[in-house]
Amino acid sequence: MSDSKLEMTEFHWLMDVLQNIDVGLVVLDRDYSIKLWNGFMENHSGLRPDQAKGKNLFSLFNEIDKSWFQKKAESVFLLNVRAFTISEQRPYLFKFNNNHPITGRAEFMYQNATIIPLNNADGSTEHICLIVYDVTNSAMSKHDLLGVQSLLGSH
Amino acid sequence: MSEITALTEDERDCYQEITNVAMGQAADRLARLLNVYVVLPIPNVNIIERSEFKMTIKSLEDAPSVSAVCQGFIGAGIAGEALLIFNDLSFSDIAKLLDYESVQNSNEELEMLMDVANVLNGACIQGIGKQLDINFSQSHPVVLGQHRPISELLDDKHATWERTMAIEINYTIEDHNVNCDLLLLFTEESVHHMNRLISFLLED
Amino acid sequence: MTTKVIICDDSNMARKQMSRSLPDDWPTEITLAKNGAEAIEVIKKGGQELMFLDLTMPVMDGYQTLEAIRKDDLPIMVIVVSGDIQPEARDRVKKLGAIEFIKKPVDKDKIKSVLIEYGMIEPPSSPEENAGGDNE
Repeated sequence: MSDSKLEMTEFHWLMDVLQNIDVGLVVLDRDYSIKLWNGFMENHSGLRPDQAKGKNLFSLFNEIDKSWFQKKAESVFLLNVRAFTISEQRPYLFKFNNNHPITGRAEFMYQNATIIPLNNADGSTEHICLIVYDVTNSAMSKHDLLGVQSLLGSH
Repeated sequence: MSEITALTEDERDCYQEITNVAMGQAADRLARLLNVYVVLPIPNVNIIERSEFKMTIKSLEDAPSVSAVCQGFIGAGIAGEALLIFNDLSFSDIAKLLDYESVQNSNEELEMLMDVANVLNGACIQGIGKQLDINFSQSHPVVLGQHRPISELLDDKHATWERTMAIEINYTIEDHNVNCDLLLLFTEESVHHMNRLISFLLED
Repeated sequence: MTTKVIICDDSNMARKQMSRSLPDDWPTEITLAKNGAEAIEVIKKGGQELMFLDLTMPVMDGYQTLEAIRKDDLPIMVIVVSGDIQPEARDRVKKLGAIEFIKKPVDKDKIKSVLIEYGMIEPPSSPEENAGGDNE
C-alpha cells in the first residue's frame, strides 16, 4: 500500500475508534461552542452531532456550573496544561442516566473528566478537548465503603 | 409521559421478530466459537411490573446459585440492560466446550463467563441495533453475585422504576448440559421510542 | 404466468417484510401461513410452486415442515428464510430438501438472484434491454 493510502486507512481507523470508544469526547472552541461530539456523547445525551455542533455548551447543558467550568478551562487555554475534575468534587459534569437503569442503584452517571489543550501549529491553544469518564461503579463502591465504615463507627 | 401497560399484538410480534434475528446472529457466533448447535426458541416479550420482575428472577434461580453478567446499552433514546444468567451447573460443560482444561478457581470461571457473555450480549445488542439503525454504546460488563442470589439486586430501598419491557431468550446447547437465559430489559421511556421506530416496520 | 407462492412465518411483521422483498414485477398469488401445519394444508390442496419457510414457529416448526414434505413427497420447492443462521441450521435444512437458505433480514437482491438461479423468473436479457423494462 502506498504511504498516503496507509495514512488514510489509519485515519479512518482513528475516526472509528473516536466514534465508538466508551468515553465522551467533546471539543470546544474559545467561545465554548461544540466542535466535536462523539458516539458516547450522542448516545447518552440523545443529541446528534448536528444538534450539538455549533451550539454553546452551557446553553445545551445548564447543569454545568458555568463559572466553575470556565475557570478550569481557562487554565488549559492560557497555560497549556491539563485540568481534571473528579466525581468527589462534583458527581457529574453532564447529567446522564445510570448505565444500568434496571439493576443499578445510582440515580445518575458519576463522572470524572480531563480537559486537554489542542494546540495550533504555532503552539497557541484555541481549542480544548473534554474527555468524560463514567466512574459510577467506583463511586458507588466508595459510598458503600463509607456506609460500612460509619456503621462500624470507624472514621 | 403516559404509562405503557401493555404492548399491542403487532408490537409484540415485531419485537419478537427483531429479537429472533438478533438471537440468530448471536447463536451463530457462539456456534462457531464452540462448534456446537444452539437451540433457539421463540423469545418471550412482555411489559412487566417491578414485582413481577422479582418473581421472574426468582424463578430463574433453578439451582441455589446462579451467576449473571450484566451490560448496559444506550443509543437514540433507547436504554436498557442485557442480563445473562447462568446456572452454575453449566460451568463444567461450558468449560469443556471452550476447551478449558479444568475450571479450578473463580478466576477461570470469570474468564469463561466473560467469553460467553461477550458473544451473546454483544451480538444480540448490536443485532437489534442494526435492524433499528442504531449504533448502541455498551457499558463494561459487570459480574453480579458470583455464587450469590441474584434477587439481591432488587432491594426495594433503591427502587427507581415501575415497569420494564423484558425480552427473555433462553439459549440451550444441544447435547450439552448448558442452559442460560438472556434478559433484555428496556426502560419504559425506551419503549415509547422503540414503538415509534418500529411503526414503520409495521405499516403495510 | 402467475406463480403460486406460500409465505410461512409465525410473525406478521416477517410475513410483510417477505412480501415486500419479492421482485415488484413478478406476478404471484401469495398465500400466508402462520405455521407449518397451515402451510402443509395449503400445499396438499395443490397448485403451490414455491414456499418461503421460517424455522422458529410454534405448532410445527420449519424442520418438521420440511420432514413432512419429504415424507409425503409433496410437490413444492422450499426456500428457508430464517434468523437462525448458524452453520448447522443451514446444513440441516439443505439435507431436509430445502433448495436454498436465505438469512433474515431479507435482502431484496438476494431473493431476486435466487429466483433467477432456480428459474422462477427470467434473468435480465442484457444490461441495455433491462433498463428499458422487463420482458415478462
